[in-house]
Amino acid sequence: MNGLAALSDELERLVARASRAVVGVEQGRGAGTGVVLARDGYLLTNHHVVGSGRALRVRLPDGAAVKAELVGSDPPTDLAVARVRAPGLSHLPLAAGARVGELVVAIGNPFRFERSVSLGIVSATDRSLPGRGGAVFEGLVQTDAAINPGNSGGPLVNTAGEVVGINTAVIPWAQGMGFAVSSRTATWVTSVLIQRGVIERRRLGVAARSEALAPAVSEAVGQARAVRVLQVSQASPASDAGMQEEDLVLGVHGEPVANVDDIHRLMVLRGTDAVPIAVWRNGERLHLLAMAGARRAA
Amino acid sequence: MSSSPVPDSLAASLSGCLADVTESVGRSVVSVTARRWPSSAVVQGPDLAFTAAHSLGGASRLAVRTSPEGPELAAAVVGRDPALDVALLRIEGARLEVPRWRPAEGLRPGSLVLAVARPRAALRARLGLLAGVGPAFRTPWGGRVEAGLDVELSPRPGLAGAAVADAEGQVVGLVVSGLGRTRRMVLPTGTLTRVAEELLAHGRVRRGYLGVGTQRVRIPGPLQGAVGHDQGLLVVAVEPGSPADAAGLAFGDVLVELGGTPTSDVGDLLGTLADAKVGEPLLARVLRAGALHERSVTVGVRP
Repeated sequence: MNGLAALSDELERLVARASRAVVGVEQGRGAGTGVVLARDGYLLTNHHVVGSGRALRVRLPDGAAVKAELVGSDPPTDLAVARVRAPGLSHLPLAAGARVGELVVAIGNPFRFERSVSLGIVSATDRSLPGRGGAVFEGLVQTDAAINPGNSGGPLVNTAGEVVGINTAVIPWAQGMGFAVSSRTATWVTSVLIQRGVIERRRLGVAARSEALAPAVSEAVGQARAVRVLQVSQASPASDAGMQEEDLVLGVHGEPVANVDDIHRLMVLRGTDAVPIAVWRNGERLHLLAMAGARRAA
Repeated sequence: MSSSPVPDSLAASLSGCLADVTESVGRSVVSVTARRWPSSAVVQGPDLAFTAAHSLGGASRLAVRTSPEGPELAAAVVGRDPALDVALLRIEGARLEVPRWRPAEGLRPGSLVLAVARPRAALRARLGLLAGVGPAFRTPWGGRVEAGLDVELSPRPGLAGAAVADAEGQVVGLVVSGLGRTRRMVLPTGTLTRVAEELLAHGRVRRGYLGVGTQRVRIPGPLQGAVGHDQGLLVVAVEPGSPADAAGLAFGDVLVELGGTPTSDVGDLLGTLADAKVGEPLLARVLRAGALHERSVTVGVRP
């Protein structure tokens, strides 16, 4: 057998295995895709697939349709968790991260065709896209695997059979560009939704972006990436704490942060109003304390 | 005023002592080349030496030198303990001078210490102060350290695998990274002796293994009473086929207690696993979908 045939067989086996954890998600006239992440029936899909509040149905891999309950939804990341009670469900693990150039398979339920699969590579990681109402989706995985509307909420699977992203958005006018919420973000958002049903985000009042550090700074602070503050809103928790534009946020709650998603994650997981923040300013490490109250996701 | 030092001044005699200690300890410090950064290793037995594991990267064979003039010797990694950032090397055909190792008991805060390193074959020394001797503790990765040697040294690189010696030239510890790339830790003699025995016997330090990835999370208010504390570990990954998987732990669980020990952070979990015997059943208390469940997990060996 030549290499191409071997690759083809390998992909076929991968898709057969992974597909057992992929379900159709139907609400009213809309349909999307979901992926089962735990044996007791918790599945992940997109908020925009299940957001209308109407009754949810899940189409299992064997074709049976069952009722599902919405566990929780997080509009800022366009992720939602639902639960079906069905015995013998397969589930897929979330990957620790995606690598640019790795082969991925998008599995979905587009246009209600049962099971549709497309192959591509990870084109980029850590991409940002503007969302509805001025929101920004962060840390997205970009792929050239074909992603169509019904793929929404379906998994982007790597060759190890792990979910590297949840397919979420297509830019209608762009060719060959699909985006997925990264497994890094999905990991904490999903587990918090399973646990609490809601994500209580805290707002610091800054615009910021992830930055690779210069070698000298990296050596001094002991990390390779940090988050640069671009703008501080007036009368916000960040400005009250003394945060300034150009500050480099190194850590939150005593843990290092590499990107904005890390900051959201640590603030949500720790769940306290007082948020200790370590920043690097003029060659010095400063310790700030921001008071950020919880707000329900709009 | 003379510009040359007075031969019998206190300064000259202190300086002479420091140089003597450096020279004598230096005979038991070798230079290690494995990655871009050169590091040092401290002799533990005639052909054995301890170094900082992070300085080796993934290398299993490397080169060692005992002096700038001396030949390059081949060395192999006997084993490493990433939780302590330490690795034991066997240097082929070497008959090295074993230093006098001094245990942490009886060390007094405020004593002067010398860090003796041999990056790139030439000897280098740095003077420091033993700021304190703390109790036993665990590294963030669950490695047990028998005494917390708090050694103040100027924050410059090049000390990985260096010996820390007292004023009499006895080795009291090994400099490793331990707490992140720029924060140093000094492993005391007792820890190194124990780790050497384990590495020589098994090639690694065996620790209990569950097969979960976790992140620290606040336990929802209404459940804090039932649990007894306010932080737990959110399960964000379960290794297929691992002890955790077999016990039914699932993505999204919050592990709040293992083997009777509250798991408020990952150090609690690793500590419990480090002390647990392989094959021993432990009771895990987990929160799932707002309710407290109990599961029995059988501790495995980290693959």
